[in-house]
Order: sequence, then structure tokens, then C-alpha cells
Amino acid sequence: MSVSVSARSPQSEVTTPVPTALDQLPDIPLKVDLCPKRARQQLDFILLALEALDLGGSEALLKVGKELGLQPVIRNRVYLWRLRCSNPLRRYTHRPGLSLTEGKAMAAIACYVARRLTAQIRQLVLAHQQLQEKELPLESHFRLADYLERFRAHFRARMNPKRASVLVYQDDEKLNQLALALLQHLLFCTGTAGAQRFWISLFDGEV
Amino acid sequence: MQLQRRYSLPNCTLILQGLTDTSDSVELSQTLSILMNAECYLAGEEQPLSGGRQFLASLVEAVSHYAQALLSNIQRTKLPSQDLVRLKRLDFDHHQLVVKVEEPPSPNNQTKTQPASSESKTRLVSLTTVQFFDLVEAIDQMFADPLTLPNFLLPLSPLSKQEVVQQEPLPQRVASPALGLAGLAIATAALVSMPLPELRRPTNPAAPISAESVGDSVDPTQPDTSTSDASTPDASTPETPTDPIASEQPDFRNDLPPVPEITDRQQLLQISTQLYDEINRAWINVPIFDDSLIYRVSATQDGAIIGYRGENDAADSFVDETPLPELLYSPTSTAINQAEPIAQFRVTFKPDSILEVSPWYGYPEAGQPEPQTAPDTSSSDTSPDTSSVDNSSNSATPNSAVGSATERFPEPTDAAPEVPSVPTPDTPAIAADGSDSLAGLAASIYTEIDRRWQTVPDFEDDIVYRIQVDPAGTILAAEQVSPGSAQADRELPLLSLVQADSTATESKPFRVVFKPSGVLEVSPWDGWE
Repeated sequence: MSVSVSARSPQSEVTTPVPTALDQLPDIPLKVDLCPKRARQQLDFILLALEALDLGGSEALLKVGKELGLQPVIRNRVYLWRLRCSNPLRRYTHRPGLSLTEGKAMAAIACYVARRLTAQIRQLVLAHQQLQEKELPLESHFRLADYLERFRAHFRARMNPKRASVLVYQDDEKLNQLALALLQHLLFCTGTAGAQRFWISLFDGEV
Repeated sequence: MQLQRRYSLPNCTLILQGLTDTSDSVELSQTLSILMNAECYLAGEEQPLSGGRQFLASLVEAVSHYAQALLSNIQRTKLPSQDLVRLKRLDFDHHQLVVKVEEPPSPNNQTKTQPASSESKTRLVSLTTVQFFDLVEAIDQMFADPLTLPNFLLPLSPLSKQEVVQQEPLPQRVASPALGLAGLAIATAALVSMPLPELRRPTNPAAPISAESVGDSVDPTQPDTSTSDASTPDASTPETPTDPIASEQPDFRNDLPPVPEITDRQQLLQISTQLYDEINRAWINVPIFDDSLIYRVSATQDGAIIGYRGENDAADSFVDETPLPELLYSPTSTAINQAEPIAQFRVTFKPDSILEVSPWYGYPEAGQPEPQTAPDTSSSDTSPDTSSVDNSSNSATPNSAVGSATERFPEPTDAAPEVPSVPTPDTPAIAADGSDSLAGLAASIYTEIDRRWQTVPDFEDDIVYRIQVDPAGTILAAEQVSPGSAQADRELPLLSLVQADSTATESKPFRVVFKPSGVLEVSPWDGWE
């Protein structure tokens, strides 16, 4: 007798004072209750990639926040924008930084939205891989080119061009590489333990 | 009971076969607690990767760590404990799975010499990113399944700082702090090697040239400080000032052509001031000598000291206590040939830290170009008096007393050495020319009287005399004007100076004041205008 089981753990949608959606994400033993620089940067970039993927990306982020019961943490659109502006590479950087809870909320929202776009993400990653194998230019695939173009536009509009880290991406080619790497990250975010993996990867080397 | 779990994904299928723990309660009877075999079917591979618990653990660890590395782009230094399964990145989209497969020894290979050990082969599996993600997802699903290996938990934790391979190579990282430290070291060395600020020795606040002390001349043990004419023949000829110096100092100046001497009073005054400032600034150590050191210093127009000679024994022995050796300006060969005009000055370093500078031959037009060379007097002040006379007369204030800023005070007798007295000529001063005869006359009178007034004043009020002076500078008459006693007359030298038998027709009245503080004042009776 054999039983085949294919399981997918559901996200908790019960609204409690402490959103349980964040329970799965472990607390990181940092010295200060603030997300480090790299974490803030990565969170903003992932959200940026999501917005480039889907035209309604920004709205989707907020809606998912509400669905997950993360309103106590991410109150409104402006608040989310301010949290994202804690990325040091932004043009208008928000000083106070990102608390661990807020970071968790952003990671949870990102992974939830990514999961909804799983098919699209897989398709784009596969497309890129095939283009690489056939040595075709990236513009050949319409949707991939679209994603890359939107990502570039968003990035250049929001990031401070005077910073050295941003100057690296002045070249279109480099920015495309960043976009594709983020696409790969999004692929991993769509997994069962995607949110956990993503959250913990933000603190590699910081503990 | 044998159980099987299958986690299917487009590119990967994970199948676990195992047993349930029979000691568990009924509710847990569906839980696969004991793993017997795990098989991992990957896309494009006919043979699955298979193995037992160890294989699964190794696979899970390797895959999990590699997935985290992909997400964060940070390499790990610590290798997984078991290296049955390893992952390597080939390029952006391709990853290689390296699996050590242990095969049981085949009977064909066994010989006597070869031990019956299992051969280990390495199996390489190439995966694209999507395929690898499916593998990760299969493993994650397995962990998420509460009915499978509930005690086997997903090993997820962030890398600590120690485990991380530094992204930048060590030389680059060390470069910036090393540069900073090097800069700090250089700055420290530079600051340390800078000389300590020189202490300014406490100077008399009224110590410009016009405020030189003349107190030494009052001391009764001091000889009369009038001068000898040792170099009168030289002084009268303005052409050979180098000879006296050249004859006494065996230095390069022996070969020099004669240089012109500066005789302009303004220039002399200016150079005096410069010299005084220069030497005063440089003389920072407390004098350890008991005698005054007198030097004859040659200086150029811009105040550079080009030569000096000690005039008394103390000067020669204590020359290192003075800043003169340091201030000596050694001209280059071109400068020597240019025959710059020079002037000679008398520089006195007193043991009470007082410095005096005055022209060696006195200020011209003051009527006293007689040389002031008194090599053995340790406290001759006639030339300073002359200079102070000129300074105050030039300021032309109506009631400014000539040399009024100076004070006459008794010097302690033990500090004054016994010096042979030098015969003082009673010859009057050569007449000044008519341009500022009043000032010149006043100066010459002052010098005369000052030279003769050697006693400590013991009267209490000012004693004022009205004297008549002829253009030549001789005193024709003197009468006491202040209500002093006749005793003062005996002490004061005026009467000895009076030469009543002069036949000069013109005479000017002057006012001479002897103050109990030792100050002498000479001014025209009717004012300077």
C-alpha cells in the first residue's frame, strides 16, 4: 500500500495582534532590532522586480498586505513606500531604517505575490535559459524584454545615481543581469519554504 | 507498514520509502518515521539518485545551502559535514550536482591482492536553475509534510560572519585601513620631529632701544664710562671700518675689500631697531654670566649680522650664551664681492637679561661721533644714552625729556666687577650741524652730564637747573632753579662742567632736571620749537 502525498502548506490568514503570517519567519539574533543594509536593499529590489513583472504590481502588494493581516505593520501605501525607501540606494532615503517585523512583513508580502505569479516567473526564467543556450539576444522574447525594460525604468527612476553601487548599473547590460538575478530569486521565493529561505538569506553574513 | 511518499514536480520527483514506527499511537501510524530508501529522479537522468538516510541528509544539506547561496550571493567557507553530495555553479543558469556513489564491489574485480572495498564513483548531474528549483521545492515539500520524518527539520539558518568568505580579497580590504594608519604614522612622525616652540624669555616690557637701562652708570664702583679713542682714527674716516675687525678676527674678512660704512642716522636707527629685535627674540636663555657681555657687531643695511667680536673677556668666554653665533649670517661668495655698506653696533648682554644695542660710533648729527669703545667696562651706557637721546628727541614732544624713559638705579656692588677705569676725555663734543641744533645740543649736554653723574641721588625732590649753552655745546652758566639745598650742588656735576671763560656770543638756555629716581632730563628752556 502506498500513499502519495503532495502537500503545500497554506498561509495563515487569521488576523491577530501579531500577524501569524510572520510566525513562520524566524527571528534573527541581531544586535539591534534593525535590518542591515543589504537586507533593506534586497527587499526593495525584490519588490521592484515584482512591480516590473506585473503592471498592477504596486496595488497587488498592498492588497496582499491586507489579506495577510499585515495592516498593523504596513498601514498604507505611503507607509510601504517609506519602508521601501529605507533602501540606502534610493534617491530619497528614509533614515529610521527597517525594523525586523517590518522586514518580515515585506518579505511575506513579496513571497505571497510571487507565488501568485509563479507561472509567469517560471516562464521567464525558462525563456532566458533557452535564449542563452541558443545565443539569441534578450529582446527576442517579448515578455522578457518587457520585464527588463520596465525594471530598468523603475530602477533608474528611483535609485540615487550618485551612489557608487548605483553607478555600477549605469550600463544597461549590467542592469539586465541584475533583473535576471532577481527573477531567479523570485523563483525561489515561490517555493513552499520560499519566504523562509528568502528571509534568512537576507541575513547571510550579518549574524 | 511500508509507506511511500512521493513529491512530484515538473523536473524532479522525490520518492521516500520507509516504515512507520510501530510503537506510535494509532494517529501517528501514517507517519513515515524510519526511512529506508530515498530516490530522486531528476529531469534528463534515467537513473535516480538513491541512497539511505545519510544520502538524504547529505542531499538536503547540500541543496539547502546552495539555494541560500544563490539567494544571497554569498559563498560559504564551511563545507558541509558530509560530502556525499556537492553542488557547484557552472554559470548563471547551470549548476552541477556531484554525487559520490558507493557501489558494492563487483565479483569480477576481486583478486587476492585487491581488498574487497567498495568503489566510489562520482556522478555528475547538470541542472538548470528551474530544475534545481524543483529539487529544492521537492525537498521543502517533504519537510513541510508533517507525516514524513517529523523529526527531520529543515536546516535553515543565516550564515554567521565567520562562515562567510569575504567578497573582497584581503589586500583590497586591508588597503584602506593600512593607508589610514600609514597616514597617521607619517603625521605623528612629522609632528613629533617638529621642534618644540621656543620659550620667549621674559623681556623688560619697556625694552626697545630707547628704554635701555642706564642704572649701571650710577654705581660708585663703576668707573667713569666715558670712552677711549681707540678707534678714533678709524671712526673719522668712513672708509675703513673693516680693518679693526679684520685685524682681530682671523676670518674671511681679511680678504675683503673695504666696504662703505653706513652713516645716515635714520638708517642706523633702523638697523639698531632691527638688530635689537632680532637678538632679543633669539636670546631666550637665562644669562648665567655675571658680567655684561659687550660685542662689536657688524650688520648690513637689512639687519643681517655679518660679524661680531667680543669686547671684553666675559664676552669671549660666554659667547655661546648669546644668540650671536646662531644669528651670524654667512654670505655667499657673490654677496662678499658686492661690498654692501655695513654698520657697526655695540651689543651688550646684561646679566639681568637686558639687551642693549646702539651704533658703535654713536649716532651722527648728534654731535658725538666719538667712538665708544670701552672694552673693559661692563656697563657703559653712554652710547645707549646717545641713542635714547636721539629717539626721544626725534619724537619732538615739547616736554619730552631726553632719555626720560630711562631709569637710573644703583647696581648691587657685588655684581659689578672691578674694572680699570678708563680715562675720560674732557674734550667737548664736536659741534653738531645747524639742522637740528637744539636737539643736538640737548643730546650733547645730556651725554656730558650723564657721564659725570655717577653718584646715587639721595635728594628727595627734583633739582632743576637753568644752564646757558653755546652752539659748541659747552655750558657757560648754570644756576639752580628749584628750591633745593646747596648740598645738591656738591653732588651734581654741573658746576664742574661750566666753562665760564668761553667767548661764545650766542647761548641758548636749557633746562636740566636731576630726579631722585636717577633720571636726567635735558630740554631747551623755551621748548623745542
